[in-house]
Amino acid sequence: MVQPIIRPESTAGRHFLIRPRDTFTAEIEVVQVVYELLRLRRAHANGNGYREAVPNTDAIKHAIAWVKAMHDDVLAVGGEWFKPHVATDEDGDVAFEWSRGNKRLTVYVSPETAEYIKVERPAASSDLIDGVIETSEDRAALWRWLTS
Amino acid sequence: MALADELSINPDEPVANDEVLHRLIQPKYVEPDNGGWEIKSQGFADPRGRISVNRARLCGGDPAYTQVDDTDYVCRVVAGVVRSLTVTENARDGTVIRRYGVRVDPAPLRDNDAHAEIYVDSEPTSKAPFRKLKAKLADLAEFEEGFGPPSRES
Repeated sequence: MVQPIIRPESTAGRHFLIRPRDTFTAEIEVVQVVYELLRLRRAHANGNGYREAVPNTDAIKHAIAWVKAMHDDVLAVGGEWFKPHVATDEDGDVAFEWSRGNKRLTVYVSPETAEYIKVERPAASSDLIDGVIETSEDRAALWRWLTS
Repeated sequence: MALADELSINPDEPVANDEVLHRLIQPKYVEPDNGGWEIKSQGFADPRGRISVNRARLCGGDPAYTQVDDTDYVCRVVAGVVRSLTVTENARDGTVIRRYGVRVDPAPLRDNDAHAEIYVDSEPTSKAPFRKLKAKLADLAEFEEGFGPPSRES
């Protein structure tokens, strides 16, 4: 893991901690994901001519907290976080989708729950695994699967 | 006159296994992946759990028929391949509780004879089977020539 750079004392007599480049990039990506979530809520208010559910604002709130927790859990285990595709599903809940190689992880976030579907391509002939995400360990385990 | 009338096709006629089905995919559900493009699962979302498609043979085989906007992509799946899919409900330990088939049925609308629907049979009690159907269709579907994102080959 990249070590943080500590700048020597500034002219103001203070130390500055510079975050490693990879952590900073990941934080920017989380902000981008949060922005996407807020944009979803605004975009549907305008209508668009397609048959789509109204985004659930409580699901969006939960998704913002959830994706920040996912980001923190990934970094805590030394993983390299990258941002997901962000959308809403047919119930107005948030759907995050990450892809890496032949693996795809979709996480559905409702106001109360976070559930996942794991896909290894080709998907047509296999039984897909699903489950509930409840703890930091669950999040970290899913990330390890995705990036292994 | 509806196209089905012109073609002398009954829009209620069952969808044959070799029929091509067209699905509109909005560009926001497509992202670059491994030198190509990937369709995201939510491109197949539907509030009623019935994924709308058009039967290509009932719309002159023209993907443009399926577009709402000129920027929409159109992908294809084949009915028989879709019907061969199964999706499951699992217990927490991953064991399969129940397996569901996938149906493809005609569903003509007042303004669209070519309309059909893809859905999980037997009305599952949980969301997982439909979510898995979306994931499988996203993996199976291919863009129709000229109605997908630009080639990423240089």
